[in-house]
Amino acid sequence: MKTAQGTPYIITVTVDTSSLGVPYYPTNDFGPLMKGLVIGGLGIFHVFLAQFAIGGGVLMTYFEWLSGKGKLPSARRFTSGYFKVLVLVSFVVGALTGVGMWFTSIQTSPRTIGLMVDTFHWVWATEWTFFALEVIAGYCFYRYGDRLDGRSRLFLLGLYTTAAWFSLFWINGILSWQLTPGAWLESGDLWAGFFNPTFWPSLFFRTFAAMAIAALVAALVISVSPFERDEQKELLHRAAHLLAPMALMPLLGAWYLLAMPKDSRSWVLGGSPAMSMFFGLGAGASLLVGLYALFGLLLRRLYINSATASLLIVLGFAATAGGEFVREGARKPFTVRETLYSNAMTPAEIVTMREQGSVTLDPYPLRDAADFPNDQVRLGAKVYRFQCSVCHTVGGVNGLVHLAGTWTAEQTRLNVAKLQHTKPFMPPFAGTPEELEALVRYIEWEAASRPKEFEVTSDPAELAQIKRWLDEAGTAPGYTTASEKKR
Amino acid sequence: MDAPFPFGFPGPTAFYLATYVLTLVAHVVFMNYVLAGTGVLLVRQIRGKSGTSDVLAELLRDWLPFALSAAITAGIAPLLFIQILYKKAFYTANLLLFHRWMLILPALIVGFYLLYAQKTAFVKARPRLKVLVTTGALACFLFTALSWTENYLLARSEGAWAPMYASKSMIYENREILPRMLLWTLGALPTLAVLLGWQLHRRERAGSPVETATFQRVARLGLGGLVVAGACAAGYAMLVGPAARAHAVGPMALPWFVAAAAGVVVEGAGFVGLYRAQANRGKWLGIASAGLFFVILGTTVVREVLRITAVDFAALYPEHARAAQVSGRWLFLGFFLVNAVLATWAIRTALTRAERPAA
Ligand code: HEM
Repeated sequence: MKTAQGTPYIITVTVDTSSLGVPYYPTNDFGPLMKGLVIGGLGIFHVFLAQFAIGGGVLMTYFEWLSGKGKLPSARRFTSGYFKVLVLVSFVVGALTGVGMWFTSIQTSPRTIGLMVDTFHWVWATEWTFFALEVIAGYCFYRYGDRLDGRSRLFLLGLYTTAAWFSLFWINGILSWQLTPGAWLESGDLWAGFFNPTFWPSLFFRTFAAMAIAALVAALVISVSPFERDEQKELLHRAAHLLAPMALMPLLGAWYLLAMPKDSRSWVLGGSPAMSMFFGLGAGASLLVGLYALFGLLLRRLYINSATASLLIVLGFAATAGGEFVREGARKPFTVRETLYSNAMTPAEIVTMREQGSVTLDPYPLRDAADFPNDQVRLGAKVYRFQCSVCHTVGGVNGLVHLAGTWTAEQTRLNVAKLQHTKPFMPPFAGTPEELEALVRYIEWEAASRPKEFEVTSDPAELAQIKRWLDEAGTAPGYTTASEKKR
Repeated sequence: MDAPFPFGFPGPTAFYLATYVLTLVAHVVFMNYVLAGTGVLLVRQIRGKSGTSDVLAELLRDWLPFALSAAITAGIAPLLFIQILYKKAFYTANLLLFHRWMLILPALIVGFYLLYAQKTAFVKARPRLKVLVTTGALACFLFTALSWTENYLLARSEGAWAPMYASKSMIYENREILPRMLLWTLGALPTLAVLLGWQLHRRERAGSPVETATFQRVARLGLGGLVVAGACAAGYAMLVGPAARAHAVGPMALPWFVAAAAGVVVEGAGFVGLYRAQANRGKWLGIASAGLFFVILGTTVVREVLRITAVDFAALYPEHARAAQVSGRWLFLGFFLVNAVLATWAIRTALTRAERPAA
């Protein structure tokens, strides 16, 4: 039996190592592109469209209601045009990027998506029933809406919107669980994980973001549609009502940040330049949209034409991009907090791999194995592939050669052995001293532009030093401070 | 594993298998409409004389985008359960065929928009462009079908994984792939015929006359589909080898094999009746639909049995048992029922409250 080093923040995970079966998967190499960028890019696009679908429903239900009350005569004409945009953009690209998210998630970390499916498949299946309802109600409106009476239209739009929002509700629970699994860690209770500490701030935040995006798209549709100028103004003013809840976003953002683990918060607020930058991008873009909404649309001080509306949509997209990068990045070094590291190993498996090696049982050979000068470099390449390649490339984005290529061998050994302390958003190294040395040699070989001949190192004193460093670093995550360790 | 599917497995495994198969059946129905429908539309556009109206082509043009939406939506549910049943194998095949999965997304988006483009006056007015647009859409869907077929075959062949990875090959070479895909594509024709039959029937009942010849065309499509798909299935059975053939009629699959075969007979009888009928076509369509249900369910189960027997399935039982421990299934069932009622209500509202379009 093995036990991962525990801290107040880390649950003690005990496993029977004889039954340990780390699933090895074939790892694809995306060249200079980091895997995270691939999934991040698609994710942002999908989130933007999905939020548009939800907010669009809210907007149209609101307009239909206004039309029914006789408060906005042009609302019906607008709704019909807007819904066609929604169907053509959101039903097609939104739905398909959603499916695409499954496939890209599998490409990035099959083990993470596997754990999510195992834990939440019934929640996901429930979400699917809402998604199906959304599609059915939406299509009924799309095909028959123009020929229906006001009450039936309102019913279909209301149903569509409720279903779309509930899709968000369920998915939000699963995604927020990844960062803050809360009491699920101790009890394994599904609902404790679902209604986790960031569930509510995240749900409200996303709901208001969805309404804002829909209002911005509405501004574009209104400004290019053949309405009279006065009608346009009135429609724009009404659509801008959906931007009003944005005023609460700073509060919700603060709530979200406070509910985050301390270390994740610190990455966002300056600890990691990239993450802080994305946080700034999201906050700044939202602020600009909010200011324009206030002065231009709600106070009716400015008119909005199609160019301004497009610019505001781009800002809305930038805000979504910033937010999604923060959400993805803040989880580091985990994909599921304290359960699965970013490189798909559990805390307990790291303990075992320190003794048994991380790639000893990896059945996948290296591609182009003959290009490597010796077995040590080959082993290093395998270790890189298994432990590092999910977040790094060799010479491209976040490339190891750029990061570590100029370090001395001693420095690289130390920094890799104490990886989680080198940068606390990295997981602990999970292999034997021999594997670590091989990884160091692989990085050096790549930094030296892959020479044909490359010396094999095997100094027992160096391996003993690596072992000491690995022991000093322990297997707990690096964000545990010295005082927490003592406690 | 000597009991008929899904009995003879531990409870959780049987439960997930049954859920998987049922959800896949729903996907297959809509996917068949898309695959065969796009093919039939293409043929009709190539053979059609300009200026003449073609009810079937009109129906297909009108409903294919929705059918694609439905195929995708219905595909998500089995996608969820397959990950529980065959996690590692499914993910591995996905990773090895990653180019495919990255391309499927744009392919389906393009296919979707091409189907919508069919509805525009611009495309409708240009016969050559129409054919080009439909050919493009069909290519997108065939590519999707090919990818699923390849993925299925690769996932159950563990021995091929490491060599394929090392070879950097983007294509899984297996002589079953193309015949299998042909079988899926031809097998989609009878489903299309049944669904088109119902659409015509509904149209007629709504007061728009439909010529007998149109129903007969649909019946011929169904019967022809049964014949060519049957021939293709026989050829495919020759190809898969004696072990797979034995499993297809072994104790686990036999009742389902028989159900599928009986379904073919019933479906065929339904089509013959439809061909001859001058009235009361709903009855014959009902018979053909019942047959179709058994054909799809039976073949889907036999397909699953062939996978179960090709992998070390017993080794996966503990994973199924672990997954079954998580709560939430009552939540799902409750919302499934509530949302099914709401969806039916939405459809009823749309169909009964909408004013008839001006003739
Ligand atoms: C027009 C689009 C599509 C077509 C033509 C299509 C076609 C097919 C075919 C031919 C198979 C059977 C493969 C075999 O047994 O050899 C299949 C299986 C399947 N499809 Fe689709 N498909 C489409 C879209 C989708 C989408 C978008 C999804 C997911 C959301 C999906 C989910 C599935 C699943 C889960 C299976 C079962 C795979 C297995 O058991 O290994 N399909 N599809």
